[in-house]
Parts: sequence; C-alpha cells; structure tokens
Amino acid sequence: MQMKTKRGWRRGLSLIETIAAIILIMFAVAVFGATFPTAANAVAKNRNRDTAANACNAELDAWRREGYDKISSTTLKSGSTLLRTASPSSLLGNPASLPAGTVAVTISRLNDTYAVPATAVDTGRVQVTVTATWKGVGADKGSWTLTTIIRQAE
Amino acid sequence: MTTEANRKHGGRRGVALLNTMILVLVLATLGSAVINVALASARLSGRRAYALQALNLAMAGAEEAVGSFQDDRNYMTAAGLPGPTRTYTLAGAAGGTITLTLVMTTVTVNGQPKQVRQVTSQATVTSPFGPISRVVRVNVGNAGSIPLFSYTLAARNMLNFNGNISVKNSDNSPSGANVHANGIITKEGASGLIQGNATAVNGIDSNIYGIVAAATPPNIVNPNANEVVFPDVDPQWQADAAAVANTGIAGSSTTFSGGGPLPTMRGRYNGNVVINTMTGNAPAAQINGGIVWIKGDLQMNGVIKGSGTIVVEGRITTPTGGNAVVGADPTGLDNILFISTFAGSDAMNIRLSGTQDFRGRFYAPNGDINLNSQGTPKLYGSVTSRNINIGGTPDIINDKRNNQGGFTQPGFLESKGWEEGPF
Repeated sequence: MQMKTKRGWRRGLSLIETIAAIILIMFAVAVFGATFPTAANAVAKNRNRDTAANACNAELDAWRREGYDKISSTTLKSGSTLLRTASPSSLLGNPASLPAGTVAVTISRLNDTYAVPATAVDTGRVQVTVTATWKGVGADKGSWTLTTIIRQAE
Repeated sequence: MTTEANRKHGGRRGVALLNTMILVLVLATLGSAVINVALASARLSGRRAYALQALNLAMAGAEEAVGSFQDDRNYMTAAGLPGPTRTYTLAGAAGGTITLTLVMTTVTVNGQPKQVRQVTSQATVTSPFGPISRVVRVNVGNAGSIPLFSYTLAARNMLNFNGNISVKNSDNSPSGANVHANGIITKEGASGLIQGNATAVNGIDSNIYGIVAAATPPNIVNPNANEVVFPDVDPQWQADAAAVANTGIAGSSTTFSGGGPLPTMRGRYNGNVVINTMTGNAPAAQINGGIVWIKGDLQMNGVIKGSGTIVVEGRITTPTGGNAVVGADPTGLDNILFISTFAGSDAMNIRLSGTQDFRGRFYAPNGDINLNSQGTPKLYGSVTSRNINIGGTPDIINDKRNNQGGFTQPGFLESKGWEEGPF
C-alpha cells in the first residue's frame, strides 16, 4: 500500500515536470524571440551607421580633393552657407547601400575664430559638414555627421 | 517484470525537464551570443564612426596649419599665441577639440635633409564610449622661390646713376657688390663707389671707371660683356604664389595705420593698399613671412616691418616729398621682397629717406625702378628691373653681415605630406 502511494506521487511529479518544462520552453522562446529581432535590428542599424559614416568620409575626401579654390569660386558665390546639390563624389541623393538613404552637404565660410561670418567674405577657410540619413525596417533609422575644415592653401 | 518496468519508467522521469533545461541552456547561449554580437557590433561601429569624426577634425587641424603657415611663417610661434601648441574647438554635431603641436625638425627628402615645421594635429570627440582621439602629422617646408640675380644692381636694359651713389659691401670689402646691365650703364653724379664688377653689354659711361674700388684680383669693368639671362618671374612660381595669397580682401582700397597689435598684411588685396605715416617712423603694418598679393597699387607712406614677399600688380610708390620711408627695423632684421609685375616706366618709384636701413629687394622684371633718397639711407639688398634710375645719395649694400646670415630669399611654405598616427 505504501509502495502504491509512492508510485502515484512519482506519477504526479512527471506531470509537474512536463508543465515546468513547457513553461521553461515558452519562457525561453519568448525571451529569445524578443531578443533576436532586437539584436538583429541593432546589428543592421550599426551596419548602416558604418555605411553612413563611410559615405560621409568619402564625401569629405572628395571635397578635400576638390580644393578650396574650386569650392570657394563655384559653390559659395552667393552666400556664406549653401546646401550643395551636386557632389564631387556622386554620393548625394540615395546611396545604394543605405536603405532610403540621403547624403546632405552644408558648406559654410569660417572666420579666424571658426565662426560663420556675418557676410560672405572670402575668408580662406570653409567648414564642410556632411550628414547621411537612412531609414530601414522598424527602429533601424538614424543619421551620422562628419565635419572638417578645408583651408585655402597652395 | 513489473518491478523492472517500474524501474525503467522511474528512470525516464525527469528526462523531459532535463532535456528542456538543456534546450533552454542552448537557447540562452544562443541568445547571449546574439546579444554579445549586437553589443560588440554597436561598440565597434560606434567607435569607428566617432573615430572618423575625430580623423576628419584632425585633418582639419592639419589643413589649418598648412594654410596658416602660408599666411605667416611665424604661425604658432608669434607673440600672443600660447607657444608651440594651440587648442581650439570646432562647434557642431560632429565637432570637437583640436590641438596643434609644433616642432621644428629635420626630415630626409630625396636623400637630402630638410628642416621642416612638423605639426601634430590631435582631435578629440566626445562619445558614449568616452573621448575618442585621432592624430595626424603634417610636415610644412619651404617651397621654391624665384631665382634672383646675384647682382646688387641688375637691369634688363639701362642702369643709370644720377647722384652720389655707393654700391658697397656690408663688410666694406672691395669685391662682391656687382652691377650689370644688358644694355648700358650711365653715370651723371659727381662721385660714388662700386665695390665690385661693373659690366654691361652695350657700354659703360667713362665716368664709371673712376668709382670702381681697387681689389685683388681687380674688379672688372667690362663695357662689352656677354648678355646674361634676365630673371623673369617664373610663371609657375607666380601661379603658386597667387594661389597661396588667394584669401581675398575685397574693397578698392585698404589702409594700414599701425596700432596695437600691429596689423599684419596677409592674403590678397583686391584694390590699392596704402601704408600710412606713423609718428616717429613707427611701423604701420607688418608682414610675417607669407605672400601678400596686391591687385592694385601699393603706396608706402610709412614703414612695413617684417619679412616676406609682396607682389603688386600695379605700381609701388612712395610720395615724392616728405619723409616717407621703406622698411625697416633698426636692427636690420627686416627682409622684404617687393615684386611689381607692372609693365611701365613707373613700376616702382621708391624714396628711401633719413638714416633708416632697409633690408630686402626690389624686383620689377617688366618695368622700371626709380630709386631716390633723402639723406643717406642704406638699402641692404638689391634692385633688379627693366631699367634702373638711382638718384640722391643712398648706399646700396650687398649684405654680407654674418650676424644677419646674409639675405635669405623669401619663399613660402607648403605641405610636404602628412600621415596618420599613432606615432
């Protein structure tokens, strides 16, 4: 009799084990299911930030190659700050590797205290700022900005 | 049998949980790996992106250094700056702090040792991972300069002495202060001295013979000398210099009137430039080793202090009366090359006055230089032009002073290349 009771208790334990196992699995799947897309999203976002930063850097390199004289004589004719619509690196518009990506360039004259002067005088120094923006799936969106100074020099 | 079966069943109990726990462990490991990858990716990508911000700022610092040295050879070493380092901030979303550090050092270029100004530009940006820095180093050295004659006076056509002019050496030695004309040399003054050779292609006024000082070996007086190649301004040098001085200052006229700090001439002036007379012949402007480009005329009523090159597309004049002076630091350290590209008989009308010393050169390859004096001023340097007319009683001196290191040809600085750190 005592033996029978013990067996019944053991049988009940299997059910509890199974329920616990199911709960554990559900919990694990829920946590994993929540983590995986978030992590995948984060990885995609990081990759896109990399791409954006590289695009900005390539754009700045192209402007540096363009040189101060060309920037100053053609781009800044009518003001101290202009948004350029053509790019020496052809990156503006929609860079293929960035989802819904755009690259925008702002060029400002700088005076010798590194501030934008009130008038459009030729100061021999421009600040070029490039911002790449993208919008992927879900939270995968953002922008990255790089800036540099291009100085009049031979 | 039953006992055996029960034993077997009892042995399977707990297997489901165990398997589940193993599966959960696997899932946890996978999840943890995914999270780790995401975090590492964020860290790496973030650091890379911020590092690119810092790198572009460091390159901005290098650009600033090269450009500033072309404006001013004494950049970062001049009074008023905090010694050989300079820190400034560039505002904006991707801005940061840039620190420039200057050292003078020697590098080997094509097997030759060259002294350069070496600027290290370190930029730091703030990031969620802490400050991120990048370093760029740029070497700035002398670019080429125009080839001037070794003659103290040299004319493409005619050299005319009309006064009591002495062409001397700074150490008063009898040789070295040579004069030459590809045309003729004439003299109308009462007395004078040339401590060197006098040579011309188409003749020398007989009066000139009497003023050539004796020397061993004897100075040459040759009225039938061979023509020498006249040093035109190298077009490439002119283009480079114009590019260096491309920082334009608009306006039809710019006037310098001294003050504290003394205003510095730099870049390009699109109109005329006037240097005003100051009390006690104090300087009204200074030049700090760069190239200054003037599209109009340069009128010098007062003193320009410093060393550098002033290129004038128009005329260089000083008033015909008064006490206008050109130059000059009494210590004789000033060293200015005046170039007029103007083609005409009045490219430079220069009056030296008083007992002031001027150290530098006047150069008008396409025009004439008319040099007059009031008093007995000394010009340490040279005059080179199409025609030269010298009047009054100036001393034109071939500078051999050891303590001044002789005449240093003004040039300008350019980047000799840059590299990314760490160093």
